[in-house]
Amino acid sequence: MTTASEILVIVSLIAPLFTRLNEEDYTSLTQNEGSQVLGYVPTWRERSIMQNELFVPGMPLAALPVESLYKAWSTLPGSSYGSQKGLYLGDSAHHMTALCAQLELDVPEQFKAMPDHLTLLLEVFVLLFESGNRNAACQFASDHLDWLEDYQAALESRSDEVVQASVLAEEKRKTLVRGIEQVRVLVGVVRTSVAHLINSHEARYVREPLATVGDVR
Amino acid sequence: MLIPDVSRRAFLKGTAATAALAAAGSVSFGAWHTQTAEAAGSNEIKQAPSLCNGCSSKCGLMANTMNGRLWTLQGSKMHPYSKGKLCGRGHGFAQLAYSDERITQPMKRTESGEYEPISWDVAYSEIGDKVKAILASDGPEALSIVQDPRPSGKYYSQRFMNALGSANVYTHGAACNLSKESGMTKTIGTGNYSIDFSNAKMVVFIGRSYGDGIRPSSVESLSAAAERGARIVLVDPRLNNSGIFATDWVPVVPGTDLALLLAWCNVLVEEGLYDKEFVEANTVGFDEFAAQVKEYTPAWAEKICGVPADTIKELAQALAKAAPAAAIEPSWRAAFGCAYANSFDTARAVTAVNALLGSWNEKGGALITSSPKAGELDKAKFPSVPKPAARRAGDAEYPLVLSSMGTNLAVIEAAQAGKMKGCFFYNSNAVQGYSQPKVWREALDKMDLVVSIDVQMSETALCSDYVLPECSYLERLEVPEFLGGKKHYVAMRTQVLDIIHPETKPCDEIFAGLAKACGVGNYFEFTAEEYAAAELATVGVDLEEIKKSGIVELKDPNFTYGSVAFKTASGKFEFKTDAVGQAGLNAVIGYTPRKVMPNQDEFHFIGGKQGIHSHTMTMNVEALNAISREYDLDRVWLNASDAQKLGVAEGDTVEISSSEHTGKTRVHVTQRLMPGVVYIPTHYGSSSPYLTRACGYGLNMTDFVPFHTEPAVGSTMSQEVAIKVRKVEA
Repeated sequence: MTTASEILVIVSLIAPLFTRLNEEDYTSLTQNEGSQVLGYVPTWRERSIMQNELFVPGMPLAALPVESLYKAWSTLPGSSYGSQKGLYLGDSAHHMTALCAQLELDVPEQFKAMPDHLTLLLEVFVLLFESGNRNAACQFASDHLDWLEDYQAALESRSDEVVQASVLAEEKRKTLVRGIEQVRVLVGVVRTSVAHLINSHEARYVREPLATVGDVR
Repeated sequence: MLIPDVSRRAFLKGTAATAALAAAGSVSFGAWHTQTAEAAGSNEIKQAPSLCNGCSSKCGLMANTMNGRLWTLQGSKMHPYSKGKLCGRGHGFAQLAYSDERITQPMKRTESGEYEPISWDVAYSEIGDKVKAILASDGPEALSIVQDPRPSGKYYSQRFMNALGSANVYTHGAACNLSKESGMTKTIGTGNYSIDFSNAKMVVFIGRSYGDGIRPSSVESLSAAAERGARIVLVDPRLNNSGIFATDWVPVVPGTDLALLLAWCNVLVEEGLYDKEFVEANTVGFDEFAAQVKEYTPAWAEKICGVPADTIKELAQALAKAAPAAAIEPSWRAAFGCAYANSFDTARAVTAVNALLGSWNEKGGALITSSPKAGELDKAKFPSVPKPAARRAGDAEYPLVLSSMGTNLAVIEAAQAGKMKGCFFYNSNAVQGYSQPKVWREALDKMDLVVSIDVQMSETALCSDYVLPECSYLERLEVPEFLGGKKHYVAMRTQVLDIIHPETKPCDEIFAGLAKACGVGNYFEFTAEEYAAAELATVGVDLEEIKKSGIVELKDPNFTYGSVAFKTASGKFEFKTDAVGQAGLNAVIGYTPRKVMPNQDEFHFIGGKQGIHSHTMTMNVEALNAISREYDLDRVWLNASDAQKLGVAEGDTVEISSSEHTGKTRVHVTQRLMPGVVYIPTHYGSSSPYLTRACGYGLNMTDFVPFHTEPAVGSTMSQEVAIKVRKVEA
């Protein structure tokens, strides 16, 4: 049985895996004591191949987990571009910027175009929950983590594209498919974890074990 | 399962005291949204000027931002090209700043042909090493740059390449308006002129369509002229979208406009309708021209161009009657910018008609105006770059090429000969848009170094060893742009948005970084802003002033009707130019056939623009792509009677094939196209998988056209091809 604290640790461990990491950070994340919860851990080479395709903007297979890309750019009145999707720095990004300022958090330069990146969204969620401000955490999740199903669909679509991409070498294709699947499963774990947490108002033991990431092969 | 409390990797930094988090009040998006929407006074609204990058018109615009985000755009009221309006591309292309498919960091091609992100330091260092290696082994003549001119790009491209010792600086002109500008420069001493629409009684367009290749002020002028009752004649195989302003549509066999123009000259001369006084005082070579033009009768022309002899005669007589308030519009790309083997001569013939009408610099006629330029700058701060020793590649082989453009196809020819080892591309998608893509790819593959500076992974970027990401035009200030005409202006692109992706840079910084890595950084020790301020000071304009308005009117050039200066070798309008004869063409303006004539079972193939797109640049923009898909704008056009013979109905799929390529697409059946011609909009058929909305959508015209060059000029001959069409059964 898993406590809320442990769920938060899982989410915290997973959060950085949605962004490009250097080898040192990746090794540190995946080889520490708690990383067994991550299940199958790609090697650095496999991870490098996957993240250079999936997490680099502008690559043909790029699927950045950035909230703005999955929602209408702005619902504020007067914008000429409000209904567009697939654009960075939409309303959700501006809300995150305002929120981080309110919470005295600095958004790193590498996320300047995407303060609503899933890695940062999960960090804020965990910080709010751990501080005891469960109402705020639940509100935050409701506002900013409601697009993850669309993101999983985008990942599935990328996976299909990879399977059909005859220009890619066989080994690379397999590595990418596995890598994308791992990301998809991690998103699933995040969704389940967050859902468990916001559905309970008090920290309590969860009856059923969470789906693990060990299903990735 | 107990999970140990492990140390976690966090990206967000800051004090983030538990107290602040615990005490955080409303974090609700809804509350923020309401507050932002209702707090009109506290939202930071700003306005900043720029120049649109949706096409090369660079219309002035005012960008409105809210809390640092692009909110709306308006055309600059003062800018002579926009006059308060922007076209669809202007509004749509701006969203590229936020696009999910921009390149956001330097990329390097690996051995397997894929791309991986690298740092700027690595990019500069490796490119610098490769450039130095090429300089050492083959000299600066083995390096080149191709750019589609923009204010900063054209300055820095030239400066960078010249600093390396190379004269090989080319524009996109060989695939745009090189033939037209080269030809006109020989007859009138400049590559372009304008039409005095506000006073014109009759204007003839040869292929150009203001309703498709939109510049707002041009459409406004044309509309006003039409409202006043001017006769507007469209000579075009296709009834293009300027048709709503036209009085006449004159379908012409593609590539034979020259015959039509010379037949008009024949009527004007033979019937004594030409302006004898003007010709006597202002031209050279008329006697030889008049002797030659005798054979170009309307009956002769009808057999070539398909326009009935009576129509040809009537139009010539009407032009004469309306003169001098009558002229042939100069065009841009369209029918003779670069399309045929006779495009250079067609451009000369256009100006010859205007000369015979006596319409140069007359009210309602064809106006040659002046352009302002900056004064001398402090050489200590902005040192001059030594003139390269060797001549630009291609200039000897194409002696009539306009010196300000060069022919970028010389890069291919030099690469094929093993002489061109490195090429840089700025704001240029040469591979897809200029000429036969296969030939471009093969040529670039032979080189040791290819570098693209762009905002998206175009087909040219995909042939490059390194791709360097520029920030979008809204995120950068550029050096001043001087505008000529009856009034003179200086305009500028200013920075509207903060840089969105931190690893993108404006081109001035990119070129400065490259220059430093290549050992010529001493010529780039100033910022674009410092250069802009210095240039503006020479014309009495303050940088801070232009940062607010975007455009300042300069000293009145005192344009006067009735007075014209031709900056040709003779100082006059040249019906005959010796240099043209020396280059192997007819020194006297005369007839040259086009190179390729379709057989009985083949079609002419012509391209054209759509008002919401620019070449290959805009198709990946979500909103503009969506319009194309909504209205099936990728379809090729086929004449209704041709369609009937082929058994093709509206929306059917056809296969188009040429000597180079075969492709399938859907067809639009129409009466707005003359028989024997297939029209293709030239924005489709991207093959870059990085541009997911554009990739594989429609056909690309250049895939069908062989690689060849216009004699003596070097244009791409973009429409010299015959195609076959057949229905694809379901």
